[in-house]
Amino acid sequence: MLKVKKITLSGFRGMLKPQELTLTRKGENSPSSLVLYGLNSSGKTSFVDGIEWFLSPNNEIEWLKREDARERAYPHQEAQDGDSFVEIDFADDKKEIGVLRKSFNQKKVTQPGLSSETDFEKVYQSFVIRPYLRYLEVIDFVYNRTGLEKYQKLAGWMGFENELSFQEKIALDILPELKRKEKNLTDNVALFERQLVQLMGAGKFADEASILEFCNAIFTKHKVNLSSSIKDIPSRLEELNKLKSAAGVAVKVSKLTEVEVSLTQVSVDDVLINAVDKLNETLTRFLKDKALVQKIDVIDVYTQALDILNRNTDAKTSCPVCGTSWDRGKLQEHIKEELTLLEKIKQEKEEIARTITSTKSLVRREQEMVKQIIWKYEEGQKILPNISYEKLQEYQTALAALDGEFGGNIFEKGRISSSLSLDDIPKINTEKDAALAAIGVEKAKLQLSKDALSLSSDTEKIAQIKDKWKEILEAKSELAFFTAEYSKFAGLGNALVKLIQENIKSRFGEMSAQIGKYFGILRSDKDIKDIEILLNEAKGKAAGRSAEIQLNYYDITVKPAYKVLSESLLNSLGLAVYFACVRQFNEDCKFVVLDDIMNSLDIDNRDTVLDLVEQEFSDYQFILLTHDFYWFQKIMRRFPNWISKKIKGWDYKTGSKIDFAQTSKEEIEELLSDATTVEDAGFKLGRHIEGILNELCENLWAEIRYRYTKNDPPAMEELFDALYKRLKSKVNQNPIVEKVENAKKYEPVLRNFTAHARSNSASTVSPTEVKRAMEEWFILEEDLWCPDCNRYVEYHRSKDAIECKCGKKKLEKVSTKT
Amino acid sequence: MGSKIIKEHLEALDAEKKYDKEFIRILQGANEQNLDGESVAEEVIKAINARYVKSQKDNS
Repeated sequence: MLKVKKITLSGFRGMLKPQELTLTRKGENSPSSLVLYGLNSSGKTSFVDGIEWFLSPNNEIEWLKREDARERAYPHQEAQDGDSFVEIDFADDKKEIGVLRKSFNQKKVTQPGLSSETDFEKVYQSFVIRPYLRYLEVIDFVYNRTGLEKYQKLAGWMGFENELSFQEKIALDILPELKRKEKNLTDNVALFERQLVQLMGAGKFADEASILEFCNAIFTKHKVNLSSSIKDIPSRLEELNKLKSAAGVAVKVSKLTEVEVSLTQVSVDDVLINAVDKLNETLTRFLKDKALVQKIDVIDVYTQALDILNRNTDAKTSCPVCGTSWDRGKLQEHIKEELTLLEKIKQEKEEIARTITSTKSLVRREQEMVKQIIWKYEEGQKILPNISYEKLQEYQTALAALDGEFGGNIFEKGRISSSLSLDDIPKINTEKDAALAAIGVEKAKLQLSKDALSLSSDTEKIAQIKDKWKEILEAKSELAFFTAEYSKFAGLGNALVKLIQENIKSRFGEMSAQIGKYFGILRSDKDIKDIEILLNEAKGKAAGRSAEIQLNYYDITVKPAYKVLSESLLNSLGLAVYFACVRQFNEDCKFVVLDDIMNSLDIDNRDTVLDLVEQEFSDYQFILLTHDFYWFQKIMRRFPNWISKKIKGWDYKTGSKIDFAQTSKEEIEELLSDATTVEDAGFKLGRHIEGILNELCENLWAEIRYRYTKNDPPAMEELFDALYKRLKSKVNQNPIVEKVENAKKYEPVLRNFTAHARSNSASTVSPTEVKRAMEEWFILEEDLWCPDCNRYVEYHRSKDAIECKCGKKKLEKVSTKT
Repeated sequence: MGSKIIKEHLEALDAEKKYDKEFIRILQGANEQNLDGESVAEEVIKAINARYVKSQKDNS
């Protein structure tokens, strides 16, 4: 079980000099939770960045990656090589992991130096859910509206991004690629079958029955025993060859017949030319709107822009790409539409790229076939020098040029230039007919009997049919083998995908109850129950890769939840999901870093995050960063055992200046001890009293005048009066009422130091007056505060009573003055 | 570094003795080295081709 004792940053992000964040109290060794206050740009996020980089097995900081700031942006710009590191001193109950350091490597920015690879591996293995959450991530989760996006975010939080990506690789890359290979093998079989049919002539099929029928007709003609099976054909062929020798068929005739039969079985057709034409048509149509196609390159920019918008909560915003002013919702919609369109174009482009590859294969196959025919022509030419095959040679040259066209970026070229023409095909075939005729004439000159010529020609045909059938069988065997192996692989792939999805579903299931519980703590004000994360198993392309949140909202089942929930409820839901993930999956990692996440919640609901931390995560160590001073003080009051620190300032040359934070009372007392800082003490006290009075008035349901504008908050006097009136009406003569009166006496002194000071000059106030005001106030505050549950008293309508949450601090109604 | 969960899944599938060991090894390698889909497909095709050649030799 890991917790953190100290974090040190040096030369990293905004910290040039080593900066320590100690999470143990002086003289103690056990780690405590910590709240760190700092204004924006004071260096808080540098600590979160450092922790993220330290805990990332890929040595990355996700939000910087999205902003396109890569590793070079991690070290402080003035840090020397070797000065940039993040060091964490762990508290490990197994006593295995101690101080670990990850050092930035200026030469290999993606490969930092690790003080101990084995121990770092142990740290990485200790958590499934990243133990840090930024405000922006909650917003991002809530506004990523599609099931797929939400699933991806959950994948990130729950640590199954790798599984998601692996699942996609199998389904979208590997299996389709294997299918394409299978199709190529199928095409080969089809080509050989066409050639076989051409050998046998029209009306025949590339099957055993047709072959037997065709061959047996020849065997009958030459009085050779019939074949009952295709296996007998080689032996019948031997018999034909013997007959041929007996008939005195010379080698010359045999050679000519071989050429003749070979030329008969192959012919150039329009398949390739049509394929190239079709490809060019598709390319022209696709590239018609060139501007749109070029925009594919900006998909990343749009994705990043959407990312930025998702994190921006202002209603009005400007386009992160072009700067035009937009309504945020409309701009998000616009960018999403653009992204959908561009993704569609990207897919179309990928499809065309595949067609280009298959057309290229077709060209290569045609070249191979032409090479074979030319080889036969050359054989024939040795006997008949006049045989011409110029047109075929031209076709071969054109094919070679066409093959060359497939080099380079075809999308940039816009089309495939080809000198092939449909008009050439009849010329090539006429040339072939002329060659066949010349062979026929030559054979006739040899004065062989018709039977002998027929015997020679038939023997050659049978020989070639036999060879072609063998080729078909081999191609079919390869295809069948591949199909069987493919199916084995697909079976494995599907089984793996099923396991991945079952695992994810079970994680969702385990978490759902937890999410419901945490959401109930965060938002007890709403009737929302039965929250479930469901894996979408039947939703087109996103099947098994997208998730929805379903819940019961005032007895109606709603899915997806974010369609009916308000922004505020969605933020709470996002937090509930994250916390449930941490509880469920981070058994060995017991610390959580929360960076300004309260800002994602309404002020009314911020306390509930602390309730959740207190009730459900008392065994965890929290490192909570905030820029909200009021909130910081509240956390200090709620969790007095936490270490409280504040960043007093930041400068470029050093980094943050971190100091222990004092309670307001301690700070005021310190300021009062110095005669030159009395005014500061007054201001501090005034602000403190105003803040607490506001909280008490809210807790006790005290009546305050309604205001139309936020710029006119209630003054201290009004708050005192409201509190007094409320307490008087509920507890009547309880001494607390008098204490309010006593504290209020100092209001004229303090009003000059409040958020909206009156006209009196502050300089007239003496240190004694401020001191008395402070004493009276803290006497009152102590009586309204419960040190057991660390809360102020509240009004409980059901009991019509004023008491704290645990009930130990009660303000009883007193009828007569004691 | 590959996914621990995928590693476990593949080990579980291997233990079932129902699935092709070589394919499992290819997927294990793909997970460990974070290979892209195309490279994995190439490796699978290469393995199938080698097996086919061997099967032809064995049959002859």
